[in-house]
Amino acid sequence: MKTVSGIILIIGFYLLGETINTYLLSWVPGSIIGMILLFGLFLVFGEKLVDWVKGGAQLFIKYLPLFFVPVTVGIIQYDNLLSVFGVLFFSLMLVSSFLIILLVSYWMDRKVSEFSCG
Amino acid sequence: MWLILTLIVFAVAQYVYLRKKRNYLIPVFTATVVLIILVLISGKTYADYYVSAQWIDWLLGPAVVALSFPLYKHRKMLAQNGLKIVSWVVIAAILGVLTGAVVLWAFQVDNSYVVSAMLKNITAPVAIDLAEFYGGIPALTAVICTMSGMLGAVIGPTIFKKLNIKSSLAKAVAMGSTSHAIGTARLMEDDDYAGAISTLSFLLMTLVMPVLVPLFVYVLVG
Repeated sequence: MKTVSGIILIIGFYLLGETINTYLLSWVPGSIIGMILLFGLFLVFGEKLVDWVKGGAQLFIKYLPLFFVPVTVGIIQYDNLLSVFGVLFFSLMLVSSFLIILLVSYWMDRKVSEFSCG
Repeated sequence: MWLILTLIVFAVAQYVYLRKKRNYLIPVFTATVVLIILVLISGKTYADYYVSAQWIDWLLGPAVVALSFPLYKHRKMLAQNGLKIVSWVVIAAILGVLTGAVVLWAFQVDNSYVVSAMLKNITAPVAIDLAEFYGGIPALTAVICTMSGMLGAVIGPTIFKKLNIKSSLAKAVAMGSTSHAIGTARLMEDDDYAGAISTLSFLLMTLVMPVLVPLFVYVLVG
């Protein structure tokens, strides 16, 4: 029962976010607006609201990877992936992302342990 | 039809992943590969696939809204480490532009590719809008965002292990600012504190990039 109430509230905030996106803030995605608004509501109502939303939120987060599948399958639309430029371009993007995750985690881990907090 | 097939393929992928526990078997990766093969051999287009599977895509919106729960749950820790998180996200953002877009620019690749490349490490729905705004290619941007997301989700945990990275803060900021929501979902699996930091990092990334992109566009493209 509480899981259902959480799901309904979360979807409600998503729709609210989408509406605000359509009429007011076209440069911020509706899902992000909904997330920030729901976060605000959590700050106002605290633990009482957590009790109601927790089950639904955990369910959505558990299946988050599933929701990415349809967008990702969209890669098949780009057959220019197969050209020489395409291969070089996509490889560069992967190398760049690889460097960020590697260097940032490494540097930050050393810095953070230096001050021994966190 | 494709909707049900997507659910079945994902369920099988999830089952295999839970049995084997190998990073390269994460369901978002394996299920996508299997579905791409199925769509291609059935001779259908992505449009045919999407008509049916769009309901799953729609749920991505509410799922992003649901991330406000871990953010709230860990708000005190996040506030304490706020400055550290913000500064490292900015470093990650600059590093991303320098190793990606600037290299393309140096090789005199068309500006639309340079702009798209700048946006690869932010969450796809935001990146697509920004690509349109700054003269990138929206569809291409969506693809490189997804690729960056998958890269972190698949090899991120291995990198952390190899480099012996212990701090949740370091793992999560690196993951969130490279692989946005897809990487965050991977971290959530074993550590929801890290998941919360990662959520905050990818949110901050979407705030930093709209400031950074016009700056770089001005300097590089003129």
